[in-house]
Amino acid sequence: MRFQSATLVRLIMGFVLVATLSVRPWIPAWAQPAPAGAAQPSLLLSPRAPLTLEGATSLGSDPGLAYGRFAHRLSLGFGRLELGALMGAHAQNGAEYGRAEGRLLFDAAKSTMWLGVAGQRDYDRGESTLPLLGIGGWKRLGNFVSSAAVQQTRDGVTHYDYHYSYADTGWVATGRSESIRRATIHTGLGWSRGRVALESAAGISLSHAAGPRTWVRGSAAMTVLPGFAIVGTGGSAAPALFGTPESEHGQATLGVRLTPAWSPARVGGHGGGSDSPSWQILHETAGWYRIEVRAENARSVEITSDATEWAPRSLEQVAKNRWRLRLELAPGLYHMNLRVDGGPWIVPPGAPTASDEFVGATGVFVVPN
Amino acid sequence: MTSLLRAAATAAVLFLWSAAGAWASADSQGLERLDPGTRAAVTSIVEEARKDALPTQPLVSKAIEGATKGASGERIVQAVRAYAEACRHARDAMGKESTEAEIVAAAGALQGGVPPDTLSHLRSARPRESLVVPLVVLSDLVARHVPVSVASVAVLAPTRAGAPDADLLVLRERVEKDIRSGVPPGSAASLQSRAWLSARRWQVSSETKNETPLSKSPRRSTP
Repeated sequence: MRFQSATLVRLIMGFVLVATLSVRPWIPAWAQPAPAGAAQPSLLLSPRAPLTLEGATSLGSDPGLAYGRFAHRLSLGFGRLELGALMGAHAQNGAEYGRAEGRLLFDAAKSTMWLGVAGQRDYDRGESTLPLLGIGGWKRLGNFVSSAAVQQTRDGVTHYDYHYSYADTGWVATGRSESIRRATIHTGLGWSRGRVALESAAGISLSHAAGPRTWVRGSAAMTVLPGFAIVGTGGSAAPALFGTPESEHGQATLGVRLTPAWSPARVGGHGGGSDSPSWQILHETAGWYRIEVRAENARSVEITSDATEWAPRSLEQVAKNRWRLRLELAPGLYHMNLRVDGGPWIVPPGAPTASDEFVGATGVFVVPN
Repeated sequence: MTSLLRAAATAAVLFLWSAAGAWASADSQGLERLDPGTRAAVTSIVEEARKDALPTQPLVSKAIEGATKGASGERIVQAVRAYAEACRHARDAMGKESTEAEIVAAAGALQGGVPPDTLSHLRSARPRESLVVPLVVLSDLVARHVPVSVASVAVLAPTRAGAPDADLLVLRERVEKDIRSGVPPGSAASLQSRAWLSARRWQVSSETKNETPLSKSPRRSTP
């Protein structure tokens, strides 16, 4: 199937742009997650898996690149599966391409590993590239997110042959485009605090057929109102990476990003920053549960809950930074706060919350039948 | 014979007296951590609740919670009084036949912002069965930032359609999972509730009586 309909692409781009009003930072989306304050727009079409639509187009005359991408996320028992598709068009050189992407993600408490594969079709050249492979991961350290990835991607280079034409009485250049494979190694660093989120990524792309190509990208986002952020991005020319189209020239954009309601809760027990303790409740045997808390460099960890008649109960240290308490719990809804080193009572990070007349909020958990 | 009867009656009165005393002191166990003024005020609220046949142990528990968290006496009394009021409103909304567990669960829901109407509707949907699990699920959804109106409908609709407790708990788990995977809380609750209802309709229409709706996967829409 040959895909030539630039009009269709433009229409889709326009829809995506209007739907999301998003100027995407030119950061490899697959390389590192968006900071909490800079959630990507998503349009929910399925009860179990959010569908993310995003897109961008250059409003200036150069380079005239427009693209749209959608990704569908599914929860699997052992991890998550992301399926995505990207379509792009370049007004200047008439390039049109589509890409299908699939990625498996494996989550740990504060880090994620991923393994991705993709195939690309360049409609204007009638070429297909398969597969594009990538492996990477990211880790959260307090307000920072660091990432690293290795990706094998495709890239287009144009070779010029020159010959003297007696008919034209001058030198004539004949261009020959070639698709080459590149191995790209890149690292990224993201930081967010309060309303501000910064992202940066840099990489080097290596190929036997062309010289090394280095690139750098950065973005800054500031949330002005809930769900509304101003985003500025910039970067050098870069090859196509998973989740990100190729850009032949340097980029600088300024735009707004609208996001739907963003849920800060990561329930089930994992906290946010490195200073925050993370926790989980595990079922042991009939009626018995184990509360586990990971608190770095803590000297004592206590909980108070209606499960303990609001009496503070100390957790036992079972390993470095790991604390544990066994409780017998009947089915029902419980409230709980925890504290570290005798500090203030806090909501277990990531737990659902209920208002509390004493310290502001209390964590809520349910013990099922 | 008369003296034997008199002795038995005296013993019975003494037993009941001591049992009542033990019950009352068990109720107020932990209140010794409060200062005398706060303790007296809390005890008075607890006694009032007892006269109204409302659960008293949760009130004491609320006072202990305040003491553990270092709240002032005034704050503790306010919180206990508000909780007693919530229990009273909960029983009014659900009817006098409500059990203690139901009243406690409903009081928590009311304090989370659930309107009393929802409790009445839940009672109408389940006139004889316990409402504890629907109320627990409702409070949990609200705690997960599902808007109260959405959470109310998400629990009420399946309950009206005859959802057993097990299905409601599975619904809660699925909402939790969806929220963890990034779905906005309101959408997660609404869609899972609708998924249950769709599955229920499918089940009824296909007359498959042996399986509960949530034992099947909800049908997913595809992009």
